[in-house]
Amino acid sequence: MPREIITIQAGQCGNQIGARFWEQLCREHGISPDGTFSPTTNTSTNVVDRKEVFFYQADDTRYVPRTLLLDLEPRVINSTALESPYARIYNPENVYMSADGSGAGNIFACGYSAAAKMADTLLDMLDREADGSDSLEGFMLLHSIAGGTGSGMGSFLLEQIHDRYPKKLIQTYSVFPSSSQVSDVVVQPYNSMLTLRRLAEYADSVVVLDNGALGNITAEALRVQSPTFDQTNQLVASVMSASTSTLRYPGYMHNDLACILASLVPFPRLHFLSTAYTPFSADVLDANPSGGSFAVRKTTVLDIMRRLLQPKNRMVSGSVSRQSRYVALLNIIQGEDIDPTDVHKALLRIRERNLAPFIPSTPASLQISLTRRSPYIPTSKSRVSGLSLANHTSITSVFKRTMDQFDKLYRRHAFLDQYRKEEMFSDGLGEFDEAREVVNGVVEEYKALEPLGE
Amino acid sequence: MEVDDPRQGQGHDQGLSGIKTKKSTITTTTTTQHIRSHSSHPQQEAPLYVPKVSLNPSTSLPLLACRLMPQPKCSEVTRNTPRPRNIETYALDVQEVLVMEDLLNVLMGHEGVYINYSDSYNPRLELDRLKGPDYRTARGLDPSFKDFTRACIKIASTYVSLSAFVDKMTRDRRGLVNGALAASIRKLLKEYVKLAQGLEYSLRFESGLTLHKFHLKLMTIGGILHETHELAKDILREDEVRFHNATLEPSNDLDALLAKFRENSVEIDTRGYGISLNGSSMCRGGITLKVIAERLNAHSGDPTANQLLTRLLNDASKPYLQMLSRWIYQGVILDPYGEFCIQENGDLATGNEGAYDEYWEQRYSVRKDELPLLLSQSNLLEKVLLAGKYLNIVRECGGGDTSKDAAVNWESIQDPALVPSIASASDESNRALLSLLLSSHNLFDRLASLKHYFFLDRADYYINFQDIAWTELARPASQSSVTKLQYLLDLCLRQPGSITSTDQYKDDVVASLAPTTVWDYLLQIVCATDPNESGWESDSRKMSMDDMPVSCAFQLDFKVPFPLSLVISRRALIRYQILFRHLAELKNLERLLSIVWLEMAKSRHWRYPTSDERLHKWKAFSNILRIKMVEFVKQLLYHCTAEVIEPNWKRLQEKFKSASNVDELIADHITFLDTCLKECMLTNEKLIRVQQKIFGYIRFFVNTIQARSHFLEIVDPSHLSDFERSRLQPVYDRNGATIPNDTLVERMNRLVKTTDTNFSHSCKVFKDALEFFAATESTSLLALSARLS
Repeated sequence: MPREIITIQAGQCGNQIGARFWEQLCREHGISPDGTFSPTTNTSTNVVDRKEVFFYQADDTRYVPRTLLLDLEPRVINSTALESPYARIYNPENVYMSADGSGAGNIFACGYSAAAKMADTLLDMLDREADGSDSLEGFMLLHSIAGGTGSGMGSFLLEQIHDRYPKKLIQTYSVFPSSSQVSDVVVQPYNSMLTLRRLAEYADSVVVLDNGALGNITAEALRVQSPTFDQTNQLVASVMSASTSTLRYPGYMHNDLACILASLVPFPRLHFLSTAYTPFSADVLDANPSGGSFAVRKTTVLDIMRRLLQPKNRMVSGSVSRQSRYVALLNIIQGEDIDPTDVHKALLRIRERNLAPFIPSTPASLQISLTRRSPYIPTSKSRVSGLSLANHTSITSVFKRTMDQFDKLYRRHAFLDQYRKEEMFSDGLGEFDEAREVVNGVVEEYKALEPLGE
Repeated sequence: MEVDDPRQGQGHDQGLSGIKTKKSTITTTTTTQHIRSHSSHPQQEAPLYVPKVSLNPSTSLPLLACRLMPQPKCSEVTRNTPRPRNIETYALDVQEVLVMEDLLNVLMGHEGVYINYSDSYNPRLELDRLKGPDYRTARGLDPSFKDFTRACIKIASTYVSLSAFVDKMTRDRRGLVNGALAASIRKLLKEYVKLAQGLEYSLRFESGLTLHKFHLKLMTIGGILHETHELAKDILREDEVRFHNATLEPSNDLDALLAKFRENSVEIDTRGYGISLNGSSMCRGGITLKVIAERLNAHSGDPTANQLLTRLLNDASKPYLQMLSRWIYQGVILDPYGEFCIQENGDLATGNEGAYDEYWEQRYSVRKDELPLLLSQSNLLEKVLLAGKYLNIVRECGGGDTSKDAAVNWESIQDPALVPSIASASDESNRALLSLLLSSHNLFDRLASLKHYFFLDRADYYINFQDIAWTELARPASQSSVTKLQYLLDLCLRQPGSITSTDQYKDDVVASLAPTTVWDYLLQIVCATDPNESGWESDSRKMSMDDMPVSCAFQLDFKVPFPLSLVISRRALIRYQILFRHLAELKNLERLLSIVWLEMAKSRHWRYPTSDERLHKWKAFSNILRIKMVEFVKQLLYHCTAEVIEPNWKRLQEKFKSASNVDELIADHITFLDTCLKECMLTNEKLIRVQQKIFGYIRFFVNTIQARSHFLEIVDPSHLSDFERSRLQPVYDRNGATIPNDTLVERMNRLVKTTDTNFSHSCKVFKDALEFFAATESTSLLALSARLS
């Protein structure tokens, strides 16, 4: 009866992140690559975690992730999930790779309509997983918003889930395209805009992961020039694992998703969260001994909390204006023996320096959740690690950027041929305008919360 | 002199003073006759008074009791017989023999011919015998014999007195210590009798015994008897004082007397006085030992007395020391007469659940007014008490090795060697019980389990329980069944894969319903302990079972087996329950607010903007109020858990690691719980009341939103499909008329606005109170107060 969460990994990016995420979860729950529970460090027979949130046990007591692996081409799933050491844990019934293997060609509409065509199969898989849960808490979608499959298929699924499970939560981990790099996918703004609309309308919380910021953080943490996708994905997996740690290692508080989101998303439509995670280096090194050198840092609670507030650690690169404020902020501090007085001191310090300004209209303040570390992973060098989930008005800069890029293309009606082919644009391009309006609405709503500029 | 012995020829017991007396009196008689035959006094042929001794018929009296029938007094028997010839008329040597003859009788406590009891002395009265007979020597005795005779008589009188004392002390209910003391004294008396016998022999068969020699031979034993007699007097004096104190005033309060009578602690004597029988009404056991020891201390400079008293003390201590060693080494009380310093209140049932802490507190108590001198030191006594108490528990739980009987080589109850022995025994039993609790009974695991169940340190099971029992929890408490709740709870706890499923104590968790809300309960406690607070009973806002939802009444109980129940006592469990109910209440509120949030996030009429300006404002306003409430609940929950329970728990663990003593352990545990209660703000009336109010507002708000949400659809149906729109039911007022939309919005506005005003006001009161108490009472509240401001 734990609050189960069903993960959906769609498209190339979603599946790559997903593969990393599951590896991380398996390690944290003492699940070996073949799915059996065989902890290496902790020999106690007492259960200390809730594996059932993300796993279920097959007849042969192996743990199987509650996840759907979806893609329109077999290449990525095959090369990441199914060829990794953890390939055997996945339920083969939950893997869907389009038979023709052509992919969505980075076109939202293709992905969307392809998903619509095989809707029955997808929804069957979804229903099967949902029926297998006692008290389903919600869904977690991993995807990127720029490509074709993750955005198109993901958006389709968002709509479907919203219809079929109107009371279930939908959380997405959405990878946003990097702002600095010029993408090889020219229609990226279109895809982003169309997906953003669905995220705004159907999701209950969206964890925004900016590819550019991810790259920067990884590069800095690992001291490498250009980090591989694998390395940034590891960062994402760490973030995901940390943000779900209160669900998996229940403590006093924040033990279900609704409870976390109820404070993080005070205004239902303003549900775009940015994250920061620190210290990243040590965790990666544990998993990835080949990683580069890293700086030794002091990790007191105050340091952790201060670093979580630094813009450079946030996984969203956007300009933080003077008016931007926190709508809500939750810091999940992981570690053993954290002294609450340290936490309190840190909170006071942050307040004194006004490091975390909040919007004036609500009494929201910095929430702290203290959680355990996994007992199955030998304690890493950093005693304490922290994740912040922030609902911050500066997220609008990301939307604005997307809107700008979209406007540039759309004004010229460039590269629209591929979209026009599909059914959803058969009546014209109204869909684009609607999407832009919705996204703009969100931006306006965020802006309305900020104090008036001087 | 003739002897009437109904059991003649049956040589009874070698130690019987009766037999000795018999023999000596027989021989004495013959000698007297012999002498009398020599003296020619024909006018005295008439029957003279002859001392006559007879034995009691066989009785159930204790073996060692005096079996000689009290002699009739000479003055009574000889009223009609002629007086014996005046002793003055005899020659000096004859006088001496006659006096010695008489003295032999007197030495055994009887009367002679010329030495008689005084008129006031009644040998049948114990009191007189205890005082010792008062002898009168016949007038006319040569003055040269008078002093010696008087000295011998004094010794004889002491003897009689001591015999009576011995008899008294060996009587039932006098106890083992007195018995042992009596036995020791009896040994002295035996010496004395032997000496008397020797004197008789000398008088009969050896020549040259003079009264002077006679006296000389008696002097040593006389001194010893005198010393002993002084001690006996002390004891009797103590006896009298105690009896006097224990005698109740004649009382009109018959009920009280009857109640005591029922408890068998009082015997109503013929005068209508209630006499307490609880041992302390007489000098015995520890008091006797104390009297001896005090006398020993007082006479430490006198070697003879010192030697004698030491011997008496050693002898008298033996039964007590035996009890002591049984107690401190085995935890057993073998105390048929209730003399030992520790008493067991046997009628406390050990099997009765809930009585464990009483059991612990009350089962063994100290007889405070019956302590031997050495044990009067309270720290030593406490060690004695704990040593046995702990061992007793260890033994009752079948753990530990209590069979070993440490070699007891203490001299007496005053032996200085007792102190280290008691200390080590106490340490030993402490260790035994601690290890029993910690290793055999896994106290830590139990406590960790308790923490899990009652403090929700891993709240997963409670979330599950909320999930499946939510409808049940919302019902009125009076309509709910505990059985169903228990079933649902068990379902959660046994859920495979959950943390609780591997907990070995999950079967001990019991669901129950409390008759009052936790707030009313707390107020009751606070008001009961502080008479200055306003009366709780008069509080009309008290919730009854009918108004109260199950979620407010639901509480857990935990079956704790003996001996863990000593630590996790009812007293502790009640505190656990209060904390649990408080945390569960917070969790319930959190969940209610989550549900409202879900409604606001998920339903169309909440999520999408509306064209109606008033409605839009109302939604925004409700949302902000919800955020305030969420914020408040979260801060409170964070405070209670992360800042109160968790650090205090760690402190408790540290304390437990270093605990050397079970009582310390218990005290630490209770202190931990009390600290938690205090820092969770559950012990202060003001904070309790304002929290109660705030929680009430939150519940009211949640109900309002849940009940009024469909008004949104009615007022602004723009997000509905045509079909849904056709099914909309207008809202009717009491008279059946449709309420117009404007009124609806107006009403909703008013409700939420009022709630907001009340909530904000209470929050402010709460913050102010918090600041005040953070400054005055508990600094731990500072953090919360700082965060809320």
